[in-house]
Amino acid sequence: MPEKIMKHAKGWLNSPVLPILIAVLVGAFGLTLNPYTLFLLTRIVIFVMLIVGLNIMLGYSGQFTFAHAALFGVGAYTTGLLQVHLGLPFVPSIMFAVVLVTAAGTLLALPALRISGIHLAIATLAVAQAVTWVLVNWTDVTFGAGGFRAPSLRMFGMDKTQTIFVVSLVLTTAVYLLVRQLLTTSFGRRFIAIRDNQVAAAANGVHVTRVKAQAFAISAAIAGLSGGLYSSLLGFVAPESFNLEQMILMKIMVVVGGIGTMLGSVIGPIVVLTLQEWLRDSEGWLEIIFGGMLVAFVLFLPRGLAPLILNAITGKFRSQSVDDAPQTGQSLNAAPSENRKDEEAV
Amino acid sequence: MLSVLLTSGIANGLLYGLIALGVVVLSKAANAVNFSQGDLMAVGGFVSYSVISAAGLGPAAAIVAVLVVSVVAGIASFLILRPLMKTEHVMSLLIATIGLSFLVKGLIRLIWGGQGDYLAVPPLVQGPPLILFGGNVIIPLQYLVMMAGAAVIILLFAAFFRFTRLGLFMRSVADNPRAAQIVGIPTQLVLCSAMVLSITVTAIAGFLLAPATLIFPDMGFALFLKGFAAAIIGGINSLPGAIVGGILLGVCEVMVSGYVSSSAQELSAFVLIFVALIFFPRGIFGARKTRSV
Amino acid sequence: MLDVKDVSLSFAGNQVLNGVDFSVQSGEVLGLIGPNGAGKTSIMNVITGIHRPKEGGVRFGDTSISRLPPHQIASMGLRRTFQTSLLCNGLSVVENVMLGLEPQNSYNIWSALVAGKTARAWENEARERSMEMLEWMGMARFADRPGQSLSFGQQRLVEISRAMVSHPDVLLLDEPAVGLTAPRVEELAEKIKSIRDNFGTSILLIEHVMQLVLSACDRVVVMATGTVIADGPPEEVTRDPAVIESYLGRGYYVES
Repeated sequence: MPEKIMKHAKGWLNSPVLPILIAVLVGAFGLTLNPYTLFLLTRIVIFVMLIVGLNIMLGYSGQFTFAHAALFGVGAYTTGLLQVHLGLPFVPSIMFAVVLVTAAGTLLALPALRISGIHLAIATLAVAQAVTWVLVNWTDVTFGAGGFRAPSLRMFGMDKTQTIFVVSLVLTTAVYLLVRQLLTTSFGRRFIAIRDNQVAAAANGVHVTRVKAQAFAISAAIAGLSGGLYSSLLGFVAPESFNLEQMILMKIMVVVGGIGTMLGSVIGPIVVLTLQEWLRDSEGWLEIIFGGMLVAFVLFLPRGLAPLILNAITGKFRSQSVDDAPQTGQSLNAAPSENRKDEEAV
Repeated sequence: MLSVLLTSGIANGLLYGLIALGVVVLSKAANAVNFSQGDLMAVGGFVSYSVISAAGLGPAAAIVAVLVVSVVAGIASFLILRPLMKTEHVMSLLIATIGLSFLVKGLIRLIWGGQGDYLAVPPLVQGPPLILFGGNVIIPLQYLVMMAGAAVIILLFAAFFRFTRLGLFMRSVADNPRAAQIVGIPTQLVLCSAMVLSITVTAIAGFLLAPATLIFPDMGFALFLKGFAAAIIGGINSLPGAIVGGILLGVCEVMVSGYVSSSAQELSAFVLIFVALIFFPRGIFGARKTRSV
Repeated sequence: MLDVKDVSLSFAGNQVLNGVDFSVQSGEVLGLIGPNGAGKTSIMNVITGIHRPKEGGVRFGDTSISRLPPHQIASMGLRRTFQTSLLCNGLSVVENVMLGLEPQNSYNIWSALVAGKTARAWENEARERSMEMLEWMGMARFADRPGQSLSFGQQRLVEISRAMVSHPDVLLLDEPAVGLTAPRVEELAEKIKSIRDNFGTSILLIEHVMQLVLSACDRVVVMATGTVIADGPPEEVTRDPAVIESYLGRGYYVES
């Protein structure tokens, strides 16, 4: 009997019904909120999309890069600037932004073909810093350090926050479902294979270069899309929304939620952005708490919150593959295997 | 013009070299990279501000204070990160040190944040610039002090590795950690001292840099990045390479700022880092190793 | 089938392989033995495209493969296992085996995103074929377990399943018997022979465990310091004075 319930629970978690149901509930709830609270909720929704993409790179395919905030920023700037300078409407602007950021992200895969690990992290960091530099110094186009006012989207007789909230919620749910589906296929297995073992992957016929480029491209496309939405939500785009500090916050979201899990990509932004809002005006405490949190998670809870929550839901202590996407079983601390007692089969 | 640029480039470069020394020591002994290094350099600057400007004491007191703070910070960092200081946890360790970096920055803001964003530390020595070759070469005294300080640290560093028992231990752990453990070298002590040493040399660099610039809580990271770049350029495992790499980077930077534009200075550093990592991942002087896969 | 012709390789001026020359005939189990550092694994890395030879080349059938990248060589029907078991920890056992079918996979990302017909059809087929392979290896009951939860010997069998699931023409095994007890080695020898009999796969086996070499191999190539020093049937090779001198040791003789 419990077996059956477990199976049932698994089916529920894996079907698209649950995420859509949750999205509808969040949508209905969100439209009753006041503009400021709705703004915060929308920010979380947009970041969920962003982190789903970041997790493909960081968690699933194991490419440790620091350029995501910059890609996010290029998405936001492109969407905003095309509207401001060329007077294009929102939709073509954001579409162009997605294409541009995807191209940039794929280019970023080039260094990843030569270097990995810490070297890749620092190289992409340099790229990100260079992008921030361009945003600040190319004042003719980007309006420099002061930023610029980006037009907001308005549809269906809703106010601007409600519009962007609904649009973001729909797109985030779609991205979540598509990525989750993608990860259950061969694409997902290849990502995990190049993360766990590039040599073995190549020896089994996995085209490592192409798979890395795919991971970067998909991840970047999502960053571009969420960046475009973010520009419309903020209404005001400035370099500091996409600097290194934001990148580190994104890393914290991934680690806190659960690296390499779909559920973690949802939990991370909720926890981190809520905390951030609480700590908004505290001089220094925000960094102390987030920094401490990152250290503590890496040390004591390297798999993040997602496995805890999943275990609570399914009521099983150690679930094997309850998570929607293939359980990566990845722990930052490379947990020793637990089930070695089984008989030898050779 | 050129001489002033060159000297300021070399002086800055020596400081990058000091940070690079910190990077190399940690990388050699513990195979680790500490993201919070730059922020601890900022701590060095802020501590010397407190001692010199706020408390009105001399540079000697500031050096002692910086040393005490960095030893404490080093031991604390080691104790926190100890479970991750193993080869298989390199990336976890990196993420944890990102956390530490945030933490340290927050602490700086908490302690020194209320006093305006940018603080100035008075020069360590006052006097006219050094004029050589009948006015053809002018070296501001401040840079001379920076260079001398860096040179002293470098000499002390070299002596430490050459002549002390702990230095010998550290070299042997760097060569072969497992063998070192088997023959009874106290690995934990070595890791701890590597961390302390790395942070101390960085904090001293912060102390030397502080009078030449304005100090602010976010200053650390860009400096760490430059130090790391210097270490890479010098071939991540070479102590002399780190210094040379730092000077190269420093001179490159001031040349760009002097002859191209001052705002391009930062950009040139990032470009150099990127190029060095992609095309010379083993350093300009490092041996090219055959890459498998 | 697989011809290694005069392959030389050096790392940082250190000559690892020096004119290595042998070939694997169709349908045979060829043993490759030799002291540590003889260059056995290096030659395997050259064959599978991980290293490029400085001189010489490798032919697989009629094509030269020594300039091709590893994934392309793998998709031509030449698979290998590694000395240290290299399963992907983030994948279950059956997913690890499915990885072996990657080159045959042809559906695109759009089909994958929306769980389209081609994607689903291929996924089902791949899972089925992988399960069959695991069944054949006697590992089917571990299919849904994470790879890292298995014992060393079990992981090795999964790895062989992954290499064999696409029914390659040539299988390269790098010390599969490391850490196995004597009865398990016998079983492994049987397995290797039945792989050859069942799938017609030619096998190149690097091994130090002479028990496995003697019971599984049709022919043995002996390497020492980067060159081939003997080539022939196992009984003959083990009596070769040069082989005894450099590898087996004077105390070794075959009880048969």
